[in-house]
Amino acid sequence: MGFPFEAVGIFIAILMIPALYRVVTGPTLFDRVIGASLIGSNGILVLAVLGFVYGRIDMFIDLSIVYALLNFVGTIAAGKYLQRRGEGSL
Amino acid sequence: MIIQIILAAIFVIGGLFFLTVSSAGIVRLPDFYSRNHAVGKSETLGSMLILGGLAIYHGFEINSVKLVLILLFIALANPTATHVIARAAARSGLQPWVVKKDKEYTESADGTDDQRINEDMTQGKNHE
Repeated sequence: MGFPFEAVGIFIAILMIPALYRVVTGPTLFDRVIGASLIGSNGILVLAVLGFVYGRIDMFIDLSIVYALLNFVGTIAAGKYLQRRGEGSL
Repeated sequence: MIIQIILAAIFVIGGLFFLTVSSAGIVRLPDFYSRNHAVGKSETLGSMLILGGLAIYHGFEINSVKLVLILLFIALANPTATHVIARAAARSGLQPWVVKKDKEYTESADGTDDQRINEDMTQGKNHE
């Protein structure tokens, strides 16, 4: 009996599609940043589940850590950059 | 061992439910701030539940410790990132979505204080 990790990974990957819709047709720039952050968070989980699918957890966990750090740094940088633009930039 | 698998299944299914709620909220909610609310809380809880379920399934090893470290990092980083984005939006002048008050609501209001406040607001609008 195996845990259905393939189904879990495919379901999390399907959940990226609403966030991609929000990135494409966002009314403001901040909506696009939030959608990209949601896609990154789902990507972390897909990588962690994919390690259990292929049976090589020790490699995929490190990739997942790197994705988490890059997602956080990218979102913080986008927030600081958009904050500096001042009023009337929407 | 079977208890471990059942507990991991419960955690992963709960995490998938919260991720579904978050992805529905980012499409259906009307405003940027409410969408930010959907991403900031529901996504964090879903990620933490799924990573905790994977750590329980894997057992007590070094990789499980790494999974718990990712869990703690997401619990710190995801609300911080959404807070930074929301602060940038508020400082650049993005107005939140509000319900516009109709005349039907002021006529059907029962409380005297609420009705007086609404009349003051409508008079203020008329003066302007």
